[in-house]
Amino acid sequence: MMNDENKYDDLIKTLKELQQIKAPPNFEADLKRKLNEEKVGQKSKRSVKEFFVPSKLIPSFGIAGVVIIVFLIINLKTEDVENPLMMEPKVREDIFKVEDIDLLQAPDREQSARMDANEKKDIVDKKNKEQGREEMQSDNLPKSNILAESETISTDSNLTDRNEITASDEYSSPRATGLAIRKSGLNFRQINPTKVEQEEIQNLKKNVQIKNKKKKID
Amino acid sequence: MDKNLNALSDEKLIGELQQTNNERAFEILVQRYKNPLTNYVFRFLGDYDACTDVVQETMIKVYRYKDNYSSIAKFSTWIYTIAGNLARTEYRRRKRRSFLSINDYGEEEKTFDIPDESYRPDVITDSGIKEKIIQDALLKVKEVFREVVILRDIQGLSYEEISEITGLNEGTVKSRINRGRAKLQELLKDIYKE
Repeated sequence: MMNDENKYDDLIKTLKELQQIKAPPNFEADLKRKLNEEKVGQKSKRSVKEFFVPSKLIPSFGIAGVVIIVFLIINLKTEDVENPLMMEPKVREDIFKVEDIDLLQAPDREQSARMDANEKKDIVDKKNKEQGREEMQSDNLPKSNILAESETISTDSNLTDRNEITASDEYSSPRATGLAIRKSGLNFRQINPTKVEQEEIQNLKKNVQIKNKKKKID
Repeated sequence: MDKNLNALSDEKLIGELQQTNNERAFEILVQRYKNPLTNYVFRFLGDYDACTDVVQETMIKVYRYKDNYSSIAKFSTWIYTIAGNLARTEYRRRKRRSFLSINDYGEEEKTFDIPDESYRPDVITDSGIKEKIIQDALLKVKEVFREVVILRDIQGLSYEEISEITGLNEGTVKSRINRGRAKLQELLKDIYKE
């Protein structure tokens, strides 16, 4: 080893004689500045790390959960409340109530129709008999007169008076079903019932209505 | 108080810093080691600005990891180890950078030395030219040999200390020192002829 040292004696001497390189004069000031920056950086890192510690995370998650739940509750409530400006106006049920009429009349439609048909048949039969007698007496009258008379009868007839037509009549009538009978399509004579007959018809109608009502009440 | 701290050994000062976080103890350690470390890192890197940054980074690491120091080792070997590691990292980084920048210009040389343009007026002495030649020669020696030669022949550390700093056994350290010296002598043969 000593031989090696001697071998490189000159070199070692030269290297040892090299000038010592010194740190710059502002070395310590720069170092302090860097250290302070380091401390600030560490503090911010530490504060970020501290935030993710379980002891702080659990309550913060709890608070976040509560906030979400409260928000959802409020949001659901606000959905229920309608904007009054966007609401559609309600239908005045006390003035017009279509649904009630349907409920009352709809189930007995067929029965009332049959009843009406039977009663009308009876009335028509009676009338035909009477009319038959009258015809026998007035066989000499012209056909045109009969037609004209029938038209006036139909227009003036109290039997088909709008005010008297009930919901049940409407349903049972051919007009309601879309099969309305027109004057031109009639191939029989229309008769103007007498006052007594009209009263009888009215009474029968009333009886039918009363029966219907009783059935509904039962 | 200051007098007392100045009288303390390095190990006592770092102990003081660990226990009481006494900034003054750290300042004294910086004062003691800033020049030896600057000399060591400069001879290794050949760039004064880079060497200053490395030494400052070494001091910051000492402060930040003061608690990692154990009193079993000498403080000087611990601080030299930190400085050596940082210097090696910086050297490789600069080598890689210079390699890439030269390659960009299409030069075909395979090996590169760190450009030696860091001589500052305050560093150059009367024998400036001779120093420059020696520094150039040092930078041409492989970094593993250069490191130990600097520690031994320029910094004057013992084989034992160098062994601790580099983490090599003493035999390897001696061998590397000899190989480094041989290479250096070969590079500097013209100086000795004169």
